[in-house]
Amino acid sequence: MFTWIQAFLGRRRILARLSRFISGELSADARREVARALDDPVVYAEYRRQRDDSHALTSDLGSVGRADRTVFQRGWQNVTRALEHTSPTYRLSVHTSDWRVRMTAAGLAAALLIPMGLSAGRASASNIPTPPVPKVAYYHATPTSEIPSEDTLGAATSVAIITVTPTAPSN
Amino acid sequence: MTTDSQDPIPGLIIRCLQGNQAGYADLYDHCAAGVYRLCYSLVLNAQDAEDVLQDSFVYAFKNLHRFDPSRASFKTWLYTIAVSRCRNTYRRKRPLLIDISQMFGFDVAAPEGDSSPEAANAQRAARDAIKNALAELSPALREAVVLRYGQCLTFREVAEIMDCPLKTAESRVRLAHDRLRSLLNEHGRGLLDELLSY
Repeated sequence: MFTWIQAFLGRRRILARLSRFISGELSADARREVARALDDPVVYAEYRRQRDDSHALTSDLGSVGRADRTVFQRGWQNVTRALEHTSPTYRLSVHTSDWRVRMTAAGLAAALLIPMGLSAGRASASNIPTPPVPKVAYYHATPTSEIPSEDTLGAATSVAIITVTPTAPSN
Repeated sequence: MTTDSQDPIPGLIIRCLQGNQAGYADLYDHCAAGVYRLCYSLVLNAQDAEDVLQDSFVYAFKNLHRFDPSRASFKTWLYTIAVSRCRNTYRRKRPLLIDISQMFGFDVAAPEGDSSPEAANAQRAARDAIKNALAELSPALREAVVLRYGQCLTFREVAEIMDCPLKTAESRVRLAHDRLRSLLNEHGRGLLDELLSY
């Protein structure tokens, strides 16, 4: 039983290496191991199948997509044109040398951006709260008149200026 | 991809980096056919393949100074760029479109040389059959099988380009292989056996 399992696993390992054996990509030791296993009829049948298939696929896929010379000449022209028109670093540029187009583009940009800038400034100014303006109350008092109380002045004004006119001296 | 002392690519890259314009043209001539075949096999449309080809070379030439030969070969690097652009193309264009010229028999393939008309027709039929089968594979399986058999890359290179472990690349190739076989048998074409007769 154990020998049978061992043989089965060994064959699996050999079969997995067959494709690289056919293309000559195995190390010398691994190649010798596979070569010894080719005496096994199952391994040899699989080896022949894979070898024939790979030859057929190589010849057939190699013929897919062969193009004539004009395709490559056209391709080369386009490649050189693309290389001439692009700079190695990416940058935003207007691809025209006509100054009128550039001026029109600049005018349009200005026509759009200047009003936007102005309205943006106004909107921001209107959002700033205005500071309260102190009220000034002028009160003219004579020596005989009564000075208003502090409560009255404080409620009505922030600053109160009181002027007093002196009366003429009596004999 | 084995290291080849006759490989002209390192010399071409040096010429390009020195600012030699002819170096770019030579590098393009050397690699364009392979990149186009890869792109066509993945997107299965001539116009898209041409677009991806151009886009890949523009990107590669603009970023050639970033290419590090100690990390990967130039071919692997270039194919990674192309595969990434093919992925973008078929993400954008689901379901996959088959080339309309192919439907009407206007194939862009090169002439078949001195083969007989019957053999040429049979080969064209076989190629169309395999293109249809490729279209039915998932993108990951299609990439794996095209890189492995269409471009003759090693499993390690397939894994590098697909940005997956080596074992995953191997299993994708095997799955694609089996799926292609079943698809071709499903359509009653027996293509793989037929191709062996050529």
